[in-house]
Amino acid sequence: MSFFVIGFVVVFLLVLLSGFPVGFGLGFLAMGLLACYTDLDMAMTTSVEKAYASIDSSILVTVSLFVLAAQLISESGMGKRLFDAAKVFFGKFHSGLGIATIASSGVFSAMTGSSFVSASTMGLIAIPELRKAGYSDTLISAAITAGGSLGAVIPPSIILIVYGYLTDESIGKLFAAGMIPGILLIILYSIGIHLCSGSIGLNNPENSRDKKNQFSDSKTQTLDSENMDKFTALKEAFWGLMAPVIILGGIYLGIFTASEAAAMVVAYCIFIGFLVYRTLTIKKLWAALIASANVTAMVAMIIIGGAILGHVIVFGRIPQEFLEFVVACDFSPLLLLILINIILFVLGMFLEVLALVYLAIPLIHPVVLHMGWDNIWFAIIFLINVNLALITPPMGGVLFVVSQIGNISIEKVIKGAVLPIGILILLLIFLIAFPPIATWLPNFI
Amino acid sequence: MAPKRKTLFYRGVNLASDIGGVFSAICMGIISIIVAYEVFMRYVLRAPTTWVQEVSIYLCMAVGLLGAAFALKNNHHFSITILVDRLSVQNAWRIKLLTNLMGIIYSSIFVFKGSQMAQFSYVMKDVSNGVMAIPLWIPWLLVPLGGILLTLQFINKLSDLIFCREPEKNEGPI
Repeated sequence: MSFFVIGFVVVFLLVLLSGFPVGFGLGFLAMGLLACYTDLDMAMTTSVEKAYASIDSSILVTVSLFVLAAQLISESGMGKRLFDAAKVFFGKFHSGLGIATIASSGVFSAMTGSSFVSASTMGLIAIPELRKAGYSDTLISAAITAGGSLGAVIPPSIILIVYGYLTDESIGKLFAAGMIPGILLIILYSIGIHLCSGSIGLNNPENSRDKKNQFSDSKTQTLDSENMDKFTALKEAFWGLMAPVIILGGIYLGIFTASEAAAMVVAYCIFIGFLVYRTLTIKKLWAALIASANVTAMVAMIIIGGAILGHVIVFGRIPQEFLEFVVACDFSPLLLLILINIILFVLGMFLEVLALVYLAIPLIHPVVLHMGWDNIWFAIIFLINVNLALITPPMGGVLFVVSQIGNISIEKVIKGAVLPIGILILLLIFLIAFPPIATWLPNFI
Repeated sequence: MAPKRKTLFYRGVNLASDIGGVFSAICMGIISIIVAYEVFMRYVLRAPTTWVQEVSIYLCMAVGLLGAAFALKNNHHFSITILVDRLSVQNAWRIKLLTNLMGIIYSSIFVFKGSQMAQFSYVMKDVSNGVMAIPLWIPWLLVPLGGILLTLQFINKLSDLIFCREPEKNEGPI
């Protein structure tokens, strides 16, 4: 058995590291495993049936609509306006531009639910400004990876939607549970950026446009901010700020389902983009549709591969064996929780986030039920681990996005990601010590 | 080595992938419209529809399955290249050859089994559980169709490798 498991893990990692698209790799491996358990024909039939069943649900509709909303928010210039507003409010502080990046990423995440879109959009907007203000590449990476990782925590997180679907949990309650940890993360990231700005290269001469700016970060920002007062900044960002209100307000008040909220934001963005900001064109709308179709196809393939693998895991009675192992070892709840977090952290280092969700949930959910843990609380703990997976080398997807967009070496991006990784681990400890951080707000839904 | 010229088959496959991509984008637009329409009907006119949820799910299946080859053509599928990037050119070439062959096998299974399932649904006159009672062979047909597009696109990728061609890549077909 252990030989089999080790062999599987080795082949699994080899296939995933080979450059084979993750969704196809998961499905291909799972089919192979299923063929070992049963026979080839049965494995093929079952896999195709599971593939069909996995996308014959509203989960893909919700995810695809949020992806389209994110593309439209990006194309319509809402992200830029949010960043400008945050700059006006925070720019006067030392390291204010970094804090503005975090704050605007937080609001942007509350519209899109996607870390990649958040990191790429905010990266494109904020990196030139941060460079202009003399931020070092490491500090820029810290700010953008931190901001990007917020997309997985702050509602409407796509990961929470998938978690809710897989564990049959209320998505509205899960969104509510992510709210306080998300706000805490914004605060902790901002404090972290502020504290690190003195020590890790704020006003790096390599990045400054001229050396006079070396010690005048706040002055540079003030000059930019002087062009706009707070009222104008808020007025400009108002329509963007309304998007999260529509999504979260609509879901919490029971007006929309998650997919309907996403469709309403799509309609809202089209309306604002065409008629209010007048930044959206038919060409941009088409580009957003094409981009979201691409992302949806990618997500669909990962869902299919993950679903086939999930079926193989259940078919092979691995969750039961894992549960029996846990029961036999008689771990204390705290030790077990720490062990699960370590397993998730290590898995997250090597897996794409959706693959991690599909692989880990069938294994861990029975343990959560057995231990009597609050599923909503555990969902947020799981989410923080997913967040870590996004920014932890060697596979952290957000790291590569930041490296590519900012033209920053991956080594510097990884160095910058140490700050958000540390803060996420700190939040994880808080969550384990004080579960109401996640469980208090859902009580009101 | 064979000429690097792109054959009619190669261009035809890319065109088919592009058509799949365009169709997916159109479906995305339709999904947004009908889901927003459902909200309007339910909360403004107090007359909820009975078809939106079902149709939006099937349209989304079309987006995922028919757009997959287009995403593959444009290298939009998430993949981890950390190992391949560190290999010698020759070894990286071998690994890519192997993964493309795996892709052909994987997507061929969807063509083979998907068409069997679509045929089975057609013969059994299977319909969906919803009010619309959509014949299930229609959504099932998306599985082999998507599989064919994917298989052909993997063959194109394989031929890029064998004939050392620069793969054709564009962000949008139009």
